[in-house]
Amino acid sequence: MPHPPQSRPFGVLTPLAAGLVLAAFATLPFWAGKGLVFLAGIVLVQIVFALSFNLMFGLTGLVSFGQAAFFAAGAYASAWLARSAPGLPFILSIAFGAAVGAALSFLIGLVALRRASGIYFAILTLALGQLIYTVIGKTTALGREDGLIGIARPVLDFGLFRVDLATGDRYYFLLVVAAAIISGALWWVWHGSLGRILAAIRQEPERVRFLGVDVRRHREYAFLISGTMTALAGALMAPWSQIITPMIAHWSYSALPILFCLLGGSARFWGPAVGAIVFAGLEHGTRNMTGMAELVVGGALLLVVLAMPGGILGTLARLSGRPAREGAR
Amino acid sequence: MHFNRRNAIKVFGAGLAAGAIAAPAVARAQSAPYKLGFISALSGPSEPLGRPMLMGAEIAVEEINAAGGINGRRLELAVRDSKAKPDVATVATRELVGEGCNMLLGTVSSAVALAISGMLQQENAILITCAAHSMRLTHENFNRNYFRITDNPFMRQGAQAKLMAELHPDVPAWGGLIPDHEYGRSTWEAFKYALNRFYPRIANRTPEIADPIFTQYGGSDYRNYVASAMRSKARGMFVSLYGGDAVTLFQQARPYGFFERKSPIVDSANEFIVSRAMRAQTPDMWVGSHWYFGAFRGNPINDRLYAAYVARTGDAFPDGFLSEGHAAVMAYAAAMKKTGGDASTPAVIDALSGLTFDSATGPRTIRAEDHQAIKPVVQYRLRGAQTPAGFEVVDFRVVPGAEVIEPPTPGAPVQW
Repeated sequence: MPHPPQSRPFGVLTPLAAGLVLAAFATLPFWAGKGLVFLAGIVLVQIVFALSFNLMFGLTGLVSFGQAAFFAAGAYASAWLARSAPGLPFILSIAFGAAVGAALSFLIGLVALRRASGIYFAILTLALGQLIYTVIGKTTALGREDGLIGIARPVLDFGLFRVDLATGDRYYFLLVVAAAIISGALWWVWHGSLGRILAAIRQEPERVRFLGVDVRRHREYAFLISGTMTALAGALMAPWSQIITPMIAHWSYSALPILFCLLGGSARFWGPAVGAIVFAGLEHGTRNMTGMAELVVGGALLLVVLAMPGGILGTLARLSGRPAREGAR
Repeated sequence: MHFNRRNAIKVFGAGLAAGAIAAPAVARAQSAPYKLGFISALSGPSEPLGRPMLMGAEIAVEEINAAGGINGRRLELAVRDSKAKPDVATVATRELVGEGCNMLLGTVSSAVALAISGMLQQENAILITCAAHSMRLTHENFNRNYFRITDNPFMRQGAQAKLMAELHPDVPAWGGLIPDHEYGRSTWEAFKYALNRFYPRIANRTPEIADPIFTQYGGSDYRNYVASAMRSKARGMFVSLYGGDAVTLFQQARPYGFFERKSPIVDSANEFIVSRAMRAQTPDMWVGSHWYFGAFRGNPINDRLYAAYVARTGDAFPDGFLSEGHAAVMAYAAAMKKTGGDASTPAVIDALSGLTFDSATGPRTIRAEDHQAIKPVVQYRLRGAQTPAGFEVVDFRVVPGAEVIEPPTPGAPVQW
């Protein structure tokens, strides 16, 4: 069947699939065990983390190895505020986490983007990220190497009624709603005019500069949005996992979104989300193969990256005869 | 098309997974086994500590089942790897509780124990830890659902410092190499406190204690830390790195002449892990232990456990973690005999509080106030030797727990 020209490669299939996945997440507590629900909450956070990262990586073409620093900044800042001032509304501690992430990504962006090309940028972000990791590990107010434990789930006060998110799966549902909203916002950025400029910068920075666009400033925008949204993901995770350790600032945590992007396909908006879900499935499926788990997961990833350039979504698109268009998708 | 098939497979897979989780719950009947959830480090630097713990728990389960189970019901272990990471452990805990394991045991890392302990009341579960040594667990972070089956730093490092004051009254200058996390700080605080307490009393002099050198967990290069320790005036050296980290540190310290310059060496908790790796190069040192089989010969539980270990591994030197995994299962078994088979969380907590049960180190009592076990503190002196194992136990000491335990102050910090 011939395809009419489409604005998106999978046409109506993309929103349909996204809707189905969202429905699966939203109904999970009704048909899955506690452990799986908890894991799904972590995956939701990681999806936001990876989608934010891909705004910079897949769209703008900046390879950062220090993204975990923003995630940790958001998580630690919100958890610290919630602990220091227990009466504060939840939304304020989340906003504080995002604000700290925004400030940090502004500062790091200012330094790192002076060398925006390839390896320099990657190494600069890696070094600055590790700096944050070390600082957190040595800061007593942030629990040093042990991290912060026993982070309380908040109570939402709506004036007329209060919702205690510590009860049952309520915080999980909040995560589903929050992840959907943030993903929607990121989708809007990716497909909007800013997204098109960022994609053009990835393809031909010189030509874009020639057209009168301030390339560095736009890269800073991408870095700032990406860092802020990542911090927001971190802030949302702290009350869910109820424990945060400096490991979430470690470079190996920065490697996660890169992995998700490569696995799912960084050229497409939903690629990292697919990557995060598949990776979590792999890890969960092999969790009891102690000693072998890393080998199996690593082998599977190697296979996907080598045999499926463009990731899972890229391969699906190729198989269905809908190759990726250049630019924002 | 492809997306539809993917989703079909995903939904089908999810359905299968849900079925797999729900099925045991449906099938659970009166005669179904009691399920104990075991969580410990089974990979990474702490694996040498978590593995024997698991084996000990398995041996106890086999023994109990062979003797007809508890109240006619068998015991079963559900095992999860914590990787010594608190976030991995909390996922595993939620999963185990979701599968109906309200009785948990294991854990090497204090950070893991603190993380799980913090969620026990919310999840309506119980945790017995077999090694995690943070004093906070039974003090400022105490909660009723948490129990420690083994000794703690106040007891162990207290006994170690006391022994040093007795054996080496001429060495008052002490330093430490400790990992920069909860466990490391807990051990150093306890050791320092006990040096200050026992040197004036026993050696009749004031100890000169240098600031400890904080090291990294899971590091691969400890040479800078060793070099710092070499510069320190301290002669006696307390080391509380553990597992693979300790092996790396000891091996990297040797070329510096560390063991010629620093003596005595006190190792907080590495059992035979370092000596198994260093063999004939093992330095002369006093090692803290959960259990040394040679110290409890004649105790039938000790002898059976040792025989079972040798039969399984062919190795002659089991680490003390073996007896702690074993003891945790024995404690649950004794508690459930007391409840008459009621495995509900409140009933088991009540039964464990104040419980006295038999173990490879003799009877242990879990204090009702703070759920800390009163058990003997074991230490032995090791050195490299031309034996098949490559090392030998030269001497050992067993101090009754009641002599060295701190007063219970659940909810409040230790009163040093």
